[in-house]
Amino acid sequence: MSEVLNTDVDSQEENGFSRRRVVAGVAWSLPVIATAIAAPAAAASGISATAALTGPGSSITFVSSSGTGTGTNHNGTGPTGFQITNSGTTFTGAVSGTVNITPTGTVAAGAGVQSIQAGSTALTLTGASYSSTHVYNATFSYGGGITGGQTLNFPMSFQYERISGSQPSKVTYNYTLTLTLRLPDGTSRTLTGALTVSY
Amino acid sequence: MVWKRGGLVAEVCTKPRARVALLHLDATQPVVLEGTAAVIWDLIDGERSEQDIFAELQGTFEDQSGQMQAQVEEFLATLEAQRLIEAARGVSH
Repeated sequence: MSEVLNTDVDSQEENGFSRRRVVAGVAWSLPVIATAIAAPAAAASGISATAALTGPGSSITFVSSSGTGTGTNHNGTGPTGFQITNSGTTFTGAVSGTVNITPTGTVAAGAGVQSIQAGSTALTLTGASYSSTHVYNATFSYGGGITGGQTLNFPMSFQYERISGSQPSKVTYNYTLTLTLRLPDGTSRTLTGALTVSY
Repeated sequence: MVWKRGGLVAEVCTKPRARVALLHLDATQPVVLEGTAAVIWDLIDGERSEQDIFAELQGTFEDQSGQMQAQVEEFLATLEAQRLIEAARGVSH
């Protein structure tokens, strides 16, 4: 790709975008962040931490995605959050996370995350959106670090996608929740769980 | 929304800028941007809005998928989550 993107290079190009660097009409491809290969020193100083969903299969309430009081709450099941246990030394730096909630089969509405907390502190969900096939994606970040030996809980609450027109009725939808946590040492922990929403 | 590069982000790039390596100074591992990701990084200058960036990309790339805007928004959100970029001004979610 880089060979294509960098044809017609201006040798005097300044630090920054130049239309001369990219030939118009190149096919668009998904922009991604690649992780550099960890150097041995970095690997040796890696974080010793485990992550797990808390309370999977619990009875939980899904609120309307359009806001409190705008729709009927629905009952369902799922985890109540997740936790990170730091069995090594204290680490600082950002723990960033992505949330993906994908329906099983064809559904008329998606499920998403209403809130995530780090302890009792609310985290900001960024880029939260539902696709046309009712797949939910969002990201979040926690920058408070975790003390050595500490287990930090991240309580979560969930929502259902409020759609225009007639709402789903007398049906239960199933979803797969995938949480990917990226720790400050560049390693990731992936957690997978199940959600059900009864309409 | 106007984005600028994070104040604690170190950058190394190839010449020409095909690959950009970024390291947030609180992180222990760099990330690498290539292709469209590197192009978007170059467009983040504290002046262009998200719409300006998207317009530049629309004028440059052929988007067969129709997903360009959503993918750009998600990519910017990921950069923000990793504190590689931050809001410059004009926050208007």
